[in-house]
Amino acid sequence: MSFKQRFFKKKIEKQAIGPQDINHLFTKAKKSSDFRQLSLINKTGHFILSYYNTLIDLEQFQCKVLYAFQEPSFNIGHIKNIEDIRNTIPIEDILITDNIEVIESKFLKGYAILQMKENDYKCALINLANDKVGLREQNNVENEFSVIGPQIGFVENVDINIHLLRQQISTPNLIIQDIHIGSMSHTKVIIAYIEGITNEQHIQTMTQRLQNIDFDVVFDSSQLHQIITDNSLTPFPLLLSTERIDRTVFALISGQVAVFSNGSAYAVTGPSTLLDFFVSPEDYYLPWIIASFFRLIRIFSVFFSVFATSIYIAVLTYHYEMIPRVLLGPLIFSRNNVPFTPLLEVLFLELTIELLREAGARLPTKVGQTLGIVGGIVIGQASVEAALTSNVLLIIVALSALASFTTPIYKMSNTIRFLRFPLIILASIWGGLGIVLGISFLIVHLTRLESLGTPYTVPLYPFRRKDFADSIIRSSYNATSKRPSYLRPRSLWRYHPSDQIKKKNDFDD
Amino acid sequence: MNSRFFFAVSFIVFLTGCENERTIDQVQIIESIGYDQHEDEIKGTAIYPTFKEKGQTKLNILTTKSPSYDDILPRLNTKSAHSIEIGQLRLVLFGKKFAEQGINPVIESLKRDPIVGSRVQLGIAEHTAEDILISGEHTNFPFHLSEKINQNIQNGKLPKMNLHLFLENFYDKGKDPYLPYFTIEEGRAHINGLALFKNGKYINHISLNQSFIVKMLIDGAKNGRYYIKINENKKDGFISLKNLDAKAHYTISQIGQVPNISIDLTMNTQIKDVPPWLNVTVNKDILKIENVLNKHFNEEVQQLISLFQEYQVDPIGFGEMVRAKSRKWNYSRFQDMYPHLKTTVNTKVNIIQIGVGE
Amino acid sequence: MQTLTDERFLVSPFFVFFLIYSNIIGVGILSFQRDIIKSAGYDAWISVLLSGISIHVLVWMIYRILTIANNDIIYIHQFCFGKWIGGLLNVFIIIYFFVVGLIVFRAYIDVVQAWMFPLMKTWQISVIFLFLLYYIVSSGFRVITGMCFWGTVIPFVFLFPLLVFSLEFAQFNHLLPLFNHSVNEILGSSKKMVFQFLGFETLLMFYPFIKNPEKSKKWAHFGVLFTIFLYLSITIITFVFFNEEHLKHTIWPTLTLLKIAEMPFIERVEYIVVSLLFLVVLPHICQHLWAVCRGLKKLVNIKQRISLFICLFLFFLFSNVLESHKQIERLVDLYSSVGFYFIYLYVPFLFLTINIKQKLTK
Repeated sequence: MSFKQRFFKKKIEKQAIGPQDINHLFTKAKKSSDFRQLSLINKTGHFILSYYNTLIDLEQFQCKVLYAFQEPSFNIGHIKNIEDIRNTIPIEDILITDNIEVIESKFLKGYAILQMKENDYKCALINLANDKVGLREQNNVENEFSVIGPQIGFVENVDINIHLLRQQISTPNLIIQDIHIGSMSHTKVIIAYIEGITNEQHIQTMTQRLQNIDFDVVFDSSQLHQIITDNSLTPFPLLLSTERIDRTVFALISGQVAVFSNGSAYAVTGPSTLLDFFVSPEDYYLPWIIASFFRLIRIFSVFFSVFATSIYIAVLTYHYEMIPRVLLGPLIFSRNNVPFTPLLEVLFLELTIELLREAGARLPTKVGQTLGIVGGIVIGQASVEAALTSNVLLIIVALSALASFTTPIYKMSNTIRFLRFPLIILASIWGGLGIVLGISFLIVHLTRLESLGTPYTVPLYPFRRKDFADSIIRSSYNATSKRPSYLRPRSLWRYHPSDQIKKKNDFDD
Repeated sequence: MNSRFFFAVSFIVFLTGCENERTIDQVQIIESIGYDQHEDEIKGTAIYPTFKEKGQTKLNILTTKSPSYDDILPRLNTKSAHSIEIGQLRLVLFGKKFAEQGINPVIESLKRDPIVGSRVQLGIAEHTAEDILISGEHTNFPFHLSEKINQNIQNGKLPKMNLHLFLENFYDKGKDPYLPYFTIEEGRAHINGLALFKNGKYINHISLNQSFIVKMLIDGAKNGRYYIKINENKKDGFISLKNLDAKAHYTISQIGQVPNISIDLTMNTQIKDVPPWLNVTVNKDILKIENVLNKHFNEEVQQLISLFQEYQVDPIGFGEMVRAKSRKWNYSRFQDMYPHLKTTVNTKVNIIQIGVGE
Repeated sequence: MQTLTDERFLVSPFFVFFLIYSNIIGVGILSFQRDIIKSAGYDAWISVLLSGISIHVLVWMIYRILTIANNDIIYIHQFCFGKWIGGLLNVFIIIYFFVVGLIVFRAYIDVVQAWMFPLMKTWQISVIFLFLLYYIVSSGFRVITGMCFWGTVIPFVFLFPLLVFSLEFAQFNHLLPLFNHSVNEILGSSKKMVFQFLGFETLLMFYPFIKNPEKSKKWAHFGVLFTIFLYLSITIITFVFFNEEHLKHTIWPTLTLLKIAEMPFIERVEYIVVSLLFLVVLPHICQHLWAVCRGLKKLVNIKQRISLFICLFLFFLFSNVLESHKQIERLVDLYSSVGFYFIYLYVPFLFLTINIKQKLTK
């Protein structure tokens, strides 16, 4: 289905569902018990205010609206026209319109409708929305924790998120655009970018894709992420979603686009590359040598996590010649009495670990932790005792599960754990050749992928030597002063490292 | 290409893909195998380890007889619950009698088999291979015979060897292969020299001390001990050396006719023990010891080479050296003049360490 | 200079290095030493250099041809020889590319069957390979180039260092005396060696897909130079590791050589080598397949997806018909002589023709 068709369809449906006029809207609303309609002055049929009392801030309503009308100095004569409301009510966000679509959507977002007279089509929309009710106040980072660095994360309120963002990027070049998405939810979705840095093409692609979305309720930005992704037939996340502010800011200043959605504590940034997912903000807070070392370990752990169990299967099923003499004894001994083939053994343990992880994530935190430890130890120990699995494998599986969690982005660590299974199957059919077959499929797949039209594996392929400063290793800040060129930023320099030419002085001189 | 087709195919592939499975605990991994000549038949002895419980490894022995060496493994297979696999084979041992008939067919079949490694060790048993293999059964230490060889190559008196080097020397016309020679001493297998081969047939063997000289002449030794009996001014005594570093340098002259090879052997050694009438801290005595040693090694090397010439074997590879120096090298011509090859040996022993005590 | 292909499908000139490299290196790298030592003995490393230099000349010629035409060989043929003769030549060149792809494909399966899975049926493994080939080739030239890049980098990083292990048993005496063979003998080996360099002809097909083709010349020559370096180092390491007679008794010397490598955590790396070699041959096959499909499209305007499917089906059929190692060797011999004449007679001929044609049209 082309976008054009989809677009038209959306319009048609909207007209069918939407109310014809304001009275129609009210008749519908009156069915709900939280709908209120009252007259502000003692004259029925005049100055009718309609609102959902569950959506508005009652305090504001009383102090600003009711008070304005019931104040002794209030003179009804001042309001001749609906526009004069603005001068009476001390609220800045007052909209005067007769567009029923606007009225409806604003009304459902917590605006109160003020009509001069009953059945007036033109009415004032007063913003009494209470955004903060029901939202969590704490904005600690929960899932992308880092030891060093700020612990502030985004919350479910998009305005607060933008506030947090503006605190860090104080330049008028930070542009915030909003779109409303969702035929039911009318969720406010914000596209943020820095003008003069971000390539227009990325902004355009992102905006275009978001505008083309037809969806009912947007619960979370990760849903948007799935809909706007370049290729849905892939286990890889093609855009990066993060709850960390520093990460989002870093993405923006590198020339990426960020998308926020109301009700979601995760920002989606793009275009992102494969290596972005293995970068932790902590890398930038540690000295670069240490940071590079840990980043290398993280990348190594990805490979370990993906390949460890499949290599185990390949070697034990097909290539026992490859086992060194000293390892032969322990391996055979641990496999001794295990009734299953290595494939079943591995699948059993891998699924056990996945179960533990899944159960740990679903259970309340306190129970979850206990269950994780107890379950892990008890089940692991018992299955070795019962000779269902070998203890060498238990170590490998546990290590590779651990290794997969070193990936800072949760979505990516899920992908990594998922990738194991096809490799395990391939290794059990063709041994080492099967693993290489899997690697080939993986490479082709990765090479095909694009994120907002940018190759996913850049700077590895297409090879960009200049962008290597901050990819596999994190070079010192002197070397990372340029923005990555694959993002095609409008201005290349992030900052200018000190011009002082470092002279190699002779020692003691 | 619809997905149903894809699944059908992958299912078939999956079902049929498992024919090559050799799961590690479903195979009988042979670590050493021995071949002996028994009248008209060949007796094969194989050792395989079983790892039942932690720290309790057992070595098991399988034997069989067959008219041909090819048939040994299939026959052993009929005696085993799991299939016999030689992918972890570390040692192939030949009885002396068998080796006299020529071991090259066995070696070549090992080479053709891709699952046999290049670092497999080969060996010759003085009596039968079976004895040697069985003598190690009670040790319950898998791979102990091949480790014995490896250890002696590293620290002892054996020159570098393995299947690859044997083949290399076997195919090289200017060089002949050699293998460790096993005997039994007090119920234990022990390496007691170097067996010499010509065209894959066992010729004779030399002692371990001579093997050490071969090692110095071929690879240059790094490690190893040497024990010399000296006789000076009617006084007997023993000098014990620890070899630190030895290198041989060859100069070949007279390429046209019978080549003349001069060998410069340089040894940097540590003195371990000297007779009481010599004092290692006195410079004069050190010089004296060095001279004694020089003379001793000159004689030993010379003697060894004439022994090789007598046996018509060339483990040191003089043929190869001459080939590398001459434009037209002819194997049969060299073969004829090998016994008349002239060699001069200059040994230079430097005593560079005398230990820490006086 | 404008190109005929959409900007989105072009690859930057730098990648011509990988395209050329991965087109030259194929299964032959496992066994070429055995062929070249037959004639020139230990001096065959000179032959490697000689044939490498001749390839440089040919690459230069091909670039001259392509710069004049600024299009691929299908167009050049029709431009030089008219519709019918040119068309016939195009059919030949398409068949040639097809057979090259097929040979590499089958030869690799042969290696796998010999070294890893003797019981494996050809059709089983070929089915999954063909899926992969379809996946790659149908993704277009950029992805093929990506495969070339990874197929160069990954195997090189993992496999090249393994050669160091064999130096433990190196006998440098083998190489002496230098220049002990006649010129004829060395040329004889060079002729054998040329076969190992075949494959760079696909340049004739993918030229229009290079961004700034002028700049890519340098990288193409670097690619050839690098393969010469690789072949030379493998040749020398093999020669010091095996003696002549031993080498003649070894079918896949490179694998036997790598068998000696031993690390504390892994032994017998030849299984890894055979597996990783898949990444080396994959781009090689893909490029030839791509060239066939591209050629067919330009010649008779068949959709590339359809022709690719047909090609893969034929691959499947032929690779199952060629069951024994001997048959494969015979096909390889045929290919090596055809390829030899193709690059040493036909390419210079084309070079002259197009130059004359250009003069005439002026």
